[in-house]
Amino acid sequence: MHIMEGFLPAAHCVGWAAASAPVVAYGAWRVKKIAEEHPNAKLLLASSGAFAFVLSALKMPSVTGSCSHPTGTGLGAMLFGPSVMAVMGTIVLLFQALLLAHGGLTTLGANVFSMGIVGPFVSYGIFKAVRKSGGSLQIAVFLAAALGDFATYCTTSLQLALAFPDPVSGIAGSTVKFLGIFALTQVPLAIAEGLLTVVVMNLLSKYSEGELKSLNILSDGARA
Amino acid sequence: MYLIDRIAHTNRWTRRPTPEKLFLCLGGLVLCMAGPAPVTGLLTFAATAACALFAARVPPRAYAAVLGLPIGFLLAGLPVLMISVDLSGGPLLSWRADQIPLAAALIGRAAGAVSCLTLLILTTPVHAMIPGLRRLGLPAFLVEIMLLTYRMIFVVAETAASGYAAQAARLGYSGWRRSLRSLGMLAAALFQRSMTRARHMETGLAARGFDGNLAVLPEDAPPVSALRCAAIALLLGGLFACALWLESLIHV
Repeated sequence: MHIMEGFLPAAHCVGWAAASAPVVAYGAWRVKKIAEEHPNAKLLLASSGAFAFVLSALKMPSVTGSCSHPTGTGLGAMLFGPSVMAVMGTIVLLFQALLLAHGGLTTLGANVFSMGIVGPFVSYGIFKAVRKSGGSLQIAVFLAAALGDFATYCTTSLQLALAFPDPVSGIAGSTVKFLGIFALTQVPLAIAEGLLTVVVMNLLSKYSEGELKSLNILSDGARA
Repeated sequence: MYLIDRIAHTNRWTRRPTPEKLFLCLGGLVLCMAGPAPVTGLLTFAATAACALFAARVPPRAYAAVLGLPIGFLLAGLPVLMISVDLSGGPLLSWRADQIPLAAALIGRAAGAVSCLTLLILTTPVHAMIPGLRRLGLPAFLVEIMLLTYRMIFVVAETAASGYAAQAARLGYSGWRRSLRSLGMLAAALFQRSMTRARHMETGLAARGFDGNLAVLPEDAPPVSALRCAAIALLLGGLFACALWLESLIHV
């Protein structure tokens, strides 16, 4: 869920950009290390970025009938690892603003925080935790993708609530309002994206083992 | 597939120097964020819309289509501002007329900011903007990855579009379950194709002595005109002065 250009006040834009910057900078440092060791990683990253962008522009069947787009954050986190995903997420979000007018330049920091950092890190953590506790690959993938989306949606609602607190009940009340309004589209989206990601990961583990191995240089063997 | 990119390459401002367009649009953006709301935003909206429609000759239909999506987001968010919820003792909703100034400020700021972004992306191709990030201090390897990503987006998108058409022609998107399965297959195939493409490019580049740097000749950009920059500065200054003046009229 992208926050549109100009929706957040200037101070919030700067604050969220400052909050995202260290994580993205760490990711960029890792990408630089990887690119120095494997010159070909640049091509791999670029085509993965293009894949992530196009994936997020595909229309996904949603339960409520409203058309929605997969975010790809869960899939990306599982394929590339969360810190590299923060960099790729930033690039994809910038292109979404410049090529699709989704999101914006002033709200880039806030959107990176919710979609490029919180979502992927939650997805990755859940994936690892479920796999470690003996859950099947399908369940781990579904929970990781669905809850990653859910975490993104909660973060965005909180970001909006911090900028526009309710006159009576303050930030808490406002968070409830934004969660309620966006639940209509975001909860079905999280479930649909969870199912979609399971289908994708099943196919990938069946047919694309070689391609998945080539990604090992990006994240140190993150996948199962 | 990408209306914005097509317009960005075919309007009257395409060949104008990128720094001038960035100065105008980002300057307008800063003005909207910092100036008194909502007048600054509304004035900037009018000025940038005039630039897009009359100076750059962006087709009005395309302009409206690009602006429509964010405006929808804005309209969806406004009721949340105007309706207050009381959580003590069960949720209680109430209409708050005293929130109108806040909502008006938001509409002004968002409308102005969105129209600055719209003007920028409809008149400037992305590949002309990315090298500018290098000057903002972004490391070269990131800029290179971004340029490569931009180029590959269109190849991947074309693959996705033809795959989607083929699936749809075979009733792959009739019904919810089948749609989900088709989309999953499409995404998996796209991933595999993307990786294969990266490998082919590796091989092709390796055969040409690739050492990790992709040296590309820069496009010969037209020189930045000091006169036009002065005009832009005058326009931005004028907008700001106008906004301050209108603001003082409102608060008398």
